[in-house]
Amino acid sequence: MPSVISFRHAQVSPAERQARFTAWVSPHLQQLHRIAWRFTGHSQDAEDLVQELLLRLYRKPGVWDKPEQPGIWLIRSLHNLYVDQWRRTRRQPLSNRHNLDWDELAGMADSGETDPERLAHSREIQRRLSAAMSTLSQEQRAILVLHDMEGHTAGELSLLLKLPLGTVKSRLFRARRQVREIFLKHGNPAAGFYVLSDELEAT
Amino acid sequence: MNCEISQSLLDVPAEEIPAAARAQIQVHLETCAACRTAWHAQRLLGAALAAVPAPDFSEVAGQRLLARVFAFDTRRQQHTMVAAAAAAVLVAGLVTALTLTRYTQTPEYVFHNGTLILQSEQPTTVGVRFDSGSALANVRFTIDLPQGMQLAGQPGLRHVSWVGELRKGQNLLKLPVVAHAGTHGVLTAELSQNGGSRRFSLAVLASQPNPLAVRLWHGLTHQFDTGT
Ligand SMILES: [Zn+2]
Repeated sequence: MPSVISFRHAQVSPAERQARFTAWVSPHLQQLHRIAWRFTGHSQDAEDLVQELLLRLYRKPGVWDKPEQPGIWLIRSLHNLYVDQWRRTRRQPLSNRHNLDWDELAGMADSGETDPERLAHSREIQRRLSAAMSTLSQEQRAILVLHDMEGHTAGELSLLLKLPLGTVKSRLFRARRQVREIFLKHGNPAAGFYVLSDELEAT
Repeated sequence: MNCEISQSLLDVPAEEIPAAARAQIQVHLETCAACRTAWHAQRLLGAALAAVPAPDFSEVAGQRLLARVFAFDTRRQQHTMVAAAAAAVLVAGLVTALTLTRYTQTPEYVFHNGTLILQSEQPTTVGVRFDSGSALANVRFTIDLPQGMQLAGQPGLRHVSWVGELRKGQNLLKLPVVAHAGTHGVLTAELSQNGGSRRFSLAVLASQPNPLAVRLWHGLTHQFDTGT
């Protein structure tokens, strides 16, 4: 098998190529960064992950100059990079580093709040959630992020990520169970309130 | 509904739980404190997941990130060029042959008596093979097409030039072209590196799109795999 010589983009100058790439990816950067941040739980890791993704894409011009649905395609690529390639080694072990970042952003302070929608923002709840999520595998975490934070259904994720529906569902079930168990480990944070009926109705 | 079923459904995303099951859970919860607590917790967890804030990522931050990507890419290319300069080999002595080659099962063109014969107006990808005695980086490839022929999908484009690399051994260039009826001329491929260069020429002919020519064209395909 001979090596294949590529001459695509032969007549495009580096500046032009950068401009094209910028135009192609810019509308999706914020979303990519947000998802990467939720995958990794840390700003610097999120930037590293997105940067790694873009660098790989940029070096493969044939891939990004035919954007069918670039948004979907980019999310899938980000997911695959995170799940398959991203090494946790660069991150410190489950230390406070992971939680600090969430802490900074967690909105409300604890104040005896019982409404779950408001309680959910509290520092304590967000810290617990962060700790629980950091025990997940990358596969499980990614699915949970895309489902429960980004709002995709299991069916949508199956199409988006080109994964069998059964795979999406089993990752999601396991992720939800594990997060809930750890979330509840130190006492039930929901014990202080009871508003239920509208929840099941609303969903 | 019993506790086991009720609590097993905690792992199921809400949108996946059938309406009938939801109603049954509802009934069960009215009498079961343990499940009520579990479902409270699940609701809080769902709300907490939805409440994880989105970090700020400004347009400026995006531009900075892209600038880093481009800088990384450039740095890597420079490494390649340094390596090429150190090797200081001339492509002229090393690229020994240009061969037309077939790389698909269905040949779209023929090579006959030293001439590349194409069906006119048919976008065709011609396989051009360069054999190189060693790996060469930073090689400038220049392709010039004869009058009447152009790169497929690029009206009027007959000249293309870029810098790339050659691996040791066979290197395949897939060249998508289209030729108008009556085209006859010479395709040239020039490879240059560090001041040395090697130039290859190839006669090109576009056949008329008529049944006889097509039959002739098919008849010729068996003679295909030759040439220098
Ligand atoms: Zn029960």
